Amino acid sequence: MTNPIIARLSGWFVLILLQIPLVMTFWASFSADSLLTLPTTRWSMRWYVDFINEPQWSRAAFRSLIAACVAAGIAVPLATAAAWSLREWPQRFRYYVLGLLLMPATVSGVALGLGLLQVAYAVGLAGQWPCLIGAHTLLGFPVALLVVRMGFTPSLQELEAAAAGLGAKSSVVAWRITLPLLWPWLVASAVAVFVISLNDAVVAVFVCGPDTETLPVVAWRQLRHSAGPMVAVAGTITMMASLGMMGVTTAGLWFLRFRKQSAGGSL
Amino acid sequence: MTLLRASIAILLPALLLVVGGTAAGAILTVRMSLHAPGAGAGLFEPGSVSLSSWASMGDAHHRGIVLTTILTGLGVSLLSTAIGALLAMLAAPFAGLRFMGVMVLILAPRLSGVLASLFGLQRLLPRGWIGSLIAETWLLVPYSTLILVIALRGIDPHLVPAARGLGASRWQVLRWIIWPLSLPAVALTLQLGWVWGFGAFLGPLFLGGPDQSTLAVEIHHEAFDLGRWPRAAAEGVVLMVLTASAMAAGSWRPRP
Repeated sequence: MTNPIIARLSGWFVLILLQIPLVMTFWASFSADSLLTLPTTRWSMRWYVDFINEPQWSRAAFRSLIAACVAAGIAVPLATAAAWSLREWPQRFRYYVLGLLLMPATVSGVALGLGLLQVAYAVGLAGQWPCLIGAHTLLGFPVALLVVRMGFTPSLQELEAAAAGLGAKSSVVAWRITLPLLWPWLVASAVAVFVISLNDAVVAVFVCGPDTETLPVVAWRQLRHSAGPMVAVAGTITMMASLGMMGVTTAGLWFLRFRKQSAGGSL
Repeated sequence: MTLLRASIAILLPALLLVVGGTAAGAILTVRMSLHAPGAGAGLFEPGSVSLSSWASMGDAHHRGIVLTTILTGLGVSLLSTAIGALLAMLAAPFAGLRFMGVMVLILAPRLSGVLASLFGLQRLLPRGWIGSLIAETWLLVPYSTLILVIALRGIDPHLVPAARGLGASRWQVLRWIIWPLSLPAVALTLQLGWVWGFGAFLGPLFLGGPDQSTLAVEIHHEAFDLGRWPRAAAEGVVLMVLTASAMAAGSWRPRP
């Protein structure tokens, strides 16, 4: 596909514009000054040292990491089961069920947070870990479902049918055919949920208690009053964690695919 | 039949999560909006029934907020679709690592943390409706682009060379091949932009002025700053109705 030169130039211009706020945050996190002024010419790691030494920030970062891992660990199996189940539903009901399952993605984060807070109060879990984990699982679930569904391709179904036709039990088909072909999608959906959970500030503001405040919530409170370098550090660390997780996963998947191709694997 | 039963059984945990979190939350929000505000530490006065939170929903202040919410939603939808189309046209022709590289740059504002983005945006944009509109668009562009890239890459790759071979210019290819074939995806992007734009929160909160509150910002303000949770719940119900209406309006198609 070749596009008019003006469209391509505008596209590159917008793409560069999109990166500017991120570059500014990265830059500001290395500022030596307490009062944030850009451009800065004095570079320092002092705010990163402070971030590690201040329990409020370092604990919040650790909590964010735990919440993101657990939410991904719950959302992906649920999404896989739902995606598998949807294949068996009659066509005319399938899209209604899918619409219902994707509902959390269409509700505003604030309305979702408000509702989840009341559900948490109703079941006596307000401000506790299960509430935060449940909220982040719910946030990530629609994306995980869409990603996993992409893995259930017609060729996978044909292979499953062929294996079943040759007498393989359904558990053997699932273990030997479905899972090996599906797992790159499972990894991709886990990364997606991890990133969503790590970055969520809106719903977390509603459902977090004093002992479960995540990094975005702590940074959020600071950002509302004064945007100091610590917020830039928190933003940069979240950015690095998200991009690092994606980079490692992508590199791992490419390496495994390359090794399989080198070994003569066809799938 | 056994297979269908088994598939219903394995769907149940996911349904429980979604219905328990979203639908039950919505019902409880409606219920809370009908309570009197809590006098003490609670969110509302248990056992009370009151329409006081709804009484102010039609006043000039709330009408203004609803109007700002609708205008923000429409603005975000149009801007994010237009910018998304530009970026999708840029990314779609690439393949392999180049495609992945461009996509990472496009998705960076969402993938690299909303906080990092907001921090930078606060330094770049003026405060006010325009600033909040640009910030909210900036946060939504990665999603819009993703939808449009998928649509553009789904177009039969032989069509464009065929049209060019028959003498069509690049603009003619864009106008008569790419545009009609990507129209359903453009409509979907506009609809989702509209729905998500109605829930605009971070942009208006951090970059909007006091007169440019959206419903989402007002809910947060009523709940956390003023402690009037039933009123926040009433505004939450209005926001949910607005979003559902936008979804329904966007899904409506004339009968052939």
